[in-house]
Amino acid sequence: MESFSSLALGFSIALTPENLLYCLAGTFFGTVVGVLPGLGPAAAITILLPLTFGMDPISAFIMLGGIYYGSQYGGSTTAILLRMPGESSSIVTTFDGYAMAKQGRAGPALAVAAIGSFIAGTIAVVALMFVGPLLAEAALAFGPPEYFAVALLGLCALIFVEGGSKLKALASAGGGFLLAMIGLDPVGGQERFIFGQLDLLDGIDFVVVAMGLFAVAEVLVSLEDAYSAKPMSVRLRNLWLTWDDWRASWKPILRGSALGFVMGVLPGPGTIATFASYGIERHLSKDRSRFGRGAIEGVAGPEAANNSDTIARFVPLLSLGIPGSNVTAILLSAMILHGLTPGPLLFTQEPDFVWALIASMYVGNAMLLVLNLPMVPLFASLTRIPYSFLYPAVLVVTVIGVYAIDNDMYNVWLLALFGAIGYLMRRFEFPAAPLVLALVLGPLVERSLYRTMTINQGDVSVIFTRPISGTIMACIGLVLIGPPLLRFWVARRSANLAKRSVQ
Amino acid sequence: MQIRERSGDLVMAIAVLAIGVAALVGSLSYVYQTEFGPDAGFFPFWLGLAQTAVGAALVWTTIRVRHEPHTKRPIGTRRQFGTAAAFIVYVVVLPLLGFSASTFVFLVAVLALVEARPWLVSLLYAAGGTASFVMLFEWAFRLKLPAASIF
Repeated sequence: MESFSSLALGFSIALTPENLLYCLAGTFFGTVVGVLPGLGPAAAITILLPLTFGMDPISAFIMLGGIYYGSQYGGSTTAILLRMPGESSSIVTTFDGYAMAKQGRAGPALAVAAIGSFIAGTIAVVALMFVGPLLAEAALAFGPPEYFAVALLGLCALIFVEGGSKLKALASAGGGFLLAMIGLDPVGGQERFIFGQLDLLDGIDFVVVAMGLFAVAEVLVSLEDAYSAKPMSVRLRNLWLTWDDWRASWKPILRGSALGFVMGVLPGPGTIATFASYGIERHLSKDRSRFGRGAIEGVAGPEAANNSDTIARFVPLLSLGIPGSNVTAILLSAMILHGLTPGPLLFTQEPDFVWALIASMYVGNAMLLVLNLPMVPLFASLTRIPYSFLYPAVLVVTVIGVYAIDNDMYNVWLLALFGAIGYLMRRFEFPAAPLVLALVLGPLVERSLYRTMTINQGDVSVIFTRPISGTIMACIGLVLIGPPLLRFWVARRSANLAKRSVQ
Repeated sequence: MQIRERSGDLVMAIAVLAIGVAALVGSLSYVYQTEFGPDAGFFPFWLGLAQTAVGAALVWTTIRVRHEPHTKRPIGTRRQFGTAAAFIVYVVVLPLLGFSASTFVFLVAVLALVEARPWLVSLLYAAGGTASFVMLFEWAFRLKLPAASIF
């Protein structure tokens, strides 16, 4: 009951004309960001972050949150119409979404993506409303060992669950931790690694690094491809589902919603939920051969999982103050920049902020449904804008953004440096997300470890022996050995099957 | 410029190793531990050690792992180099010329020289773009934009 009265408080704030406008602006801009390849939600949020400094934190986060989940809606439009996922989480949608579009069923594909996203988003917000406060309450018992373990879990999940070279991901995370060392040490206040540069005393601003790695590097990488696309024309009357479409989609949407929420609460990359949902739908289908050839379930499930996952990412962010992905890492930093203290006390100390943000997600999801269906042709036509007109403007906005942090050119020069580093990282397949997450979590990890050791006379074994931190460390062990074990099992099973088929 | 994939990987691996060693050596100049617990040098020391190990493993795997016959992929296209050069010049001249003048020049340079768009289109785009940025960010959002130091 308490959640409902808190939600009512949230709605009273989120439904003010000013906040409705920010919510609309965020969801609209987020959809545009999702539609346009080469500009992801991480870059868009970091670029716009300095503009929110003068805003009320509630309005700022209503807008930034809208950009985040709006981009997930937008990503599906280009995935279906152009076979070009606006976001990595929309890759799966290209499998059957584009096949449907080629069969002249782009309308139902877009409709099921939008409706599925709306249903999943709403279910996820309801779940967030109940799970968030519960987790925050449990986290009040957290001490330094637990915070250390949770931060480590977030980082390990990002490094070891996603594909690609684990060594490169580890190197990237190590780089992030080392960057976090620059400035004053978080315990004794001693200056470290500043090389005589007074500008480095406050450390390297997270926003500058994120903008360099995500925005500038993204622009440079996207210039490798001659980007041009001709979207299909979609008539509004085609954007509807038949009774058969509904019947085929409702179960995948519900399954995707549940799966996306669970995956979103756990740290790790967002693409896993969509791939897992696709795999489940394919497995449950009576005719698996339809998948990849325009099965509507292949769009409904992953799209629902994607949006549910996005909303669920707010659970660890709001209740523990732990980001599980690069975008939530940026949102965490944004909270700190706005004077908020993310963590379990946020629900009790800043109820207006938390519940207005949750209420705005209901409103934003409804706005996105209304925006997306009738405005699909408009969003699709955005892809006709030549990229050569877009990217110089993106670069100028990043410069304005980092300059606005301190009105200091030093940040602009660092932006150029991290843009170059980000390009090389992308080019040689070093993931940027672990670096960003490690940079954000670095001070928390160091402080928690120091406190644990100081309280326990240098003994770190308490991290493993205390019930909660011990359980989390066991989860880390699972994250480390789980994927190789799974690969081993799959390889062995395939070998056995191959042997049997030969016999 | 084209470089071999493996050479690039090796350079990156050596860079990771060098960063690790530098952090490890740098951490030795800070106090590792006091009677109350770990101090400023504790975390950087272990982090430097870990990064050195990761860097060494990266170098080792890059040298040891058999690669497919070397494929040549460009590390930068003309478009990338042009844009990167224009961006660096933009960042350097920004405090000298101020936001409006340097942004105008940057936009014209990218559109006309890198993207080979017609000069008139480039000039109109740059003028419109610069004016929009000033109106949106300086006037509407009341953000301070870099001012010229030479005028």
